[in-house]
Amino acid sequence: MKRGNVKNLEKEKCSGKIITLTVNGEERLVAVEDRDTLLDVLRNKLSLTGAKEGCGTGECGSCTVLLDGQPVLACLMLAVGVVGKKITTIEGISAGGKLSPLQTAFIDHGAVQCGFCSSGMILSSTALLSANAKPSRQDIRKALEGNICRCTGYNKIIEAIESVKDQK
Amino acid sequence: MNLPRFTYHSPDSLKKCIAILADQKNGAQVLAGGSDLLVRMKLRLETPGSLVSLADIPALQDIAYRPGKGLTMGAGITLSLLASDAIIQERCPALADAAVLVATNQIRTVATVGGNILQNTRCRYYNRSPVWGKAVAPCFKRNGAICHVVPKGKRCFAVYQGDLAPLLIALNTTVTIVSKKGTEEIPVESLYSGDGKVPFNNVAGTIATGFTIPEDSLNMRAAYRKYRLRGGIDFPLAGVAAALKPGNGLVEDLKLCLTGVASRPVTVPGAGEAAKGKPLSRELAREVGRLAYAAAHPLANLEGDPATRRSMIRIMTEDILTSFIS
Ligand SMILES: Cc1cc2nc3c(=O)[nH]c(=O)nc-3n(C[C@H](O)[C@H](O)[C@H](O)COP(=O)(O)OP(=O)(O)OC[C@H]3O[C@@H](n4cnc5c(N)ncnc54)[C@H](O)[C@@H]3O)c2cc1C
Ligand code: FES
Ligand code: FES
Repeated sequence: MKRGNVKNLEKEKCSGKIITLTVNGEERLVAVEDRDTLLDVLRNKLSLTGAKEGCGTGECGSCTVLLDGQPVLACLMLAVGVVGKKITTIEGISAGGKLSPLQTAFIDHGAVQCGFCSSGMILSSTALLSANAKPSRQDIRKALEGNICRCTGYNKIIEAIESVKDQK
Repeated sequence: MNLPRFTYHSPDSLKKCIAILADQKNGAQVLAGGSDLLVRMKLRLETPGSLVSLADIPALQDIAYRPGKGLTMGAGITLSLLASDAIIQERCPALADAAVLVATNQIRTVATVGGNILQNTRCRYYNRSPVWGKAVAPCFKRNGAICHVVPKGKRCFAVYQGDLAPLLIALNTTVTIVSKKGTEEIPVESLYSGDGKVPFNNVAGTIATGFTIPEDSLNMRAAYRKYRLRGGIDFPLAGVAAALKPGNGLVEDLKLCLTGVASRPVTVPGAGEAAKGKPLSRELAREVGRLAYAAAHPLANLEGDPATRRSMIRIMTEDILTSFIS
């Protein structure tokens, strides 16, 4: 269990509690307040900054992470509410620093420009592909309905996902 | 964006849940998926002192069909499950279809049926951040004394935009409510007050535990249509649900309910009477479409032009009934 992030927990000024979150296969102890969202904790306490805060109100999908394999919005999840669940962030799908096939496909297809939406896009499509190895274009568009990209125009993102699907 | 401070409770039984809700002096609210409530809290539209999570109460997670009684669904089941569950797909496919139209994939993973039915009303002058809110004088729903949409109005006209309520109401669904006083089963329709500011009747301290669609309604043809600007994410700017009971080639009963056009779901008056005993035809679809149009009074408090939203009510009503002809 990693304790580095809670070295000075006793000294930390926190009205809250210490909880254990299972993030990318590791148990992480973290001091939280009841009001902290999962996104606050991932980014500010666990230094996992792959999930982004675009809107903070559920509309953009840039904060998407997987909870027990299903896509959720970290900006609208309470950290105290996800104890005992498996959280996967974008950092967790490139095991040992090796990019997943989907990540490589995003780069190869130019499906990333500023990159702000990319972690959410990749996690939403990772969940899709693990439930449905051969999704139709319509399935892909539906699975990504909650992920907004301001740069790419979506086509390259969909093509990247289709290229991985074709490899399977 | 921060949430305001609150104390989090996650009791493991309904009894404890009710006790905590009753005990809190500082305004306790039920938290289900949080996709409606947490957004309002982030915008400081609401600042409850405590949140009571329903996540650890297993009794709210059942889906069951009992012959003679109908289909029951726990209030805590998620919309993703509602869309994919085999019992729902077999007994009430229209409900599974409607669930897929709500919000986004990520939201449906956590959003619950109970939260969908009990979501708050919305208005372009209300659902704003505190800074943006300062651009206009506080309206009724922000504890002011004016409505920016109906300037001479004496009440708040915020809109109810839930996608599931119209279908559940068209199917004569009941909701089971548990409170300190005990358990009661009431029609879903009776939850709504019609006032945009306080859209529900007596929900403080109560928990909706489940919904029952009666057996009779499961034999009806039902469908829901939704109008919105984008094909995903968006709330309905207008929505129509219809449930039709066929008998010997004629319509035996018809119930229509609208969403996104008033502070509550609107049951279309006269639809059943107009259709009863007649064969289902394009002409009848047009006649009922006109009744739905007459019952819808959308205002300029959402994106989209109210006249278009009203016309869409007529068009979607005709579309559903025409699709039932075949
Ligand atoms: C970007 C975005 C898009 C959306 N689009 C849509 C849409 O298209 N259609 C739509 O219908 N909704 C939409 N929503 C609203 C919301 O996501 C859904 O209505 C959802 O079903 C709410 O469920 P929840 O469990 O998350 O509710 P919560 O936020 O947990 O609860 C909502 C309200 O109901 C109360 N409540 C919840 N469960 C119970 C219970 N069992 N007993 C008593 N009170 C209870 C809570 O106290 C709260 O006041 C959208 C939200 C967002 C952020
Ligand atoms: S930051 Fe969570 S949806 Fe935009
Ligand atoms: S790449 Fe910039 S938002 Fe998608």
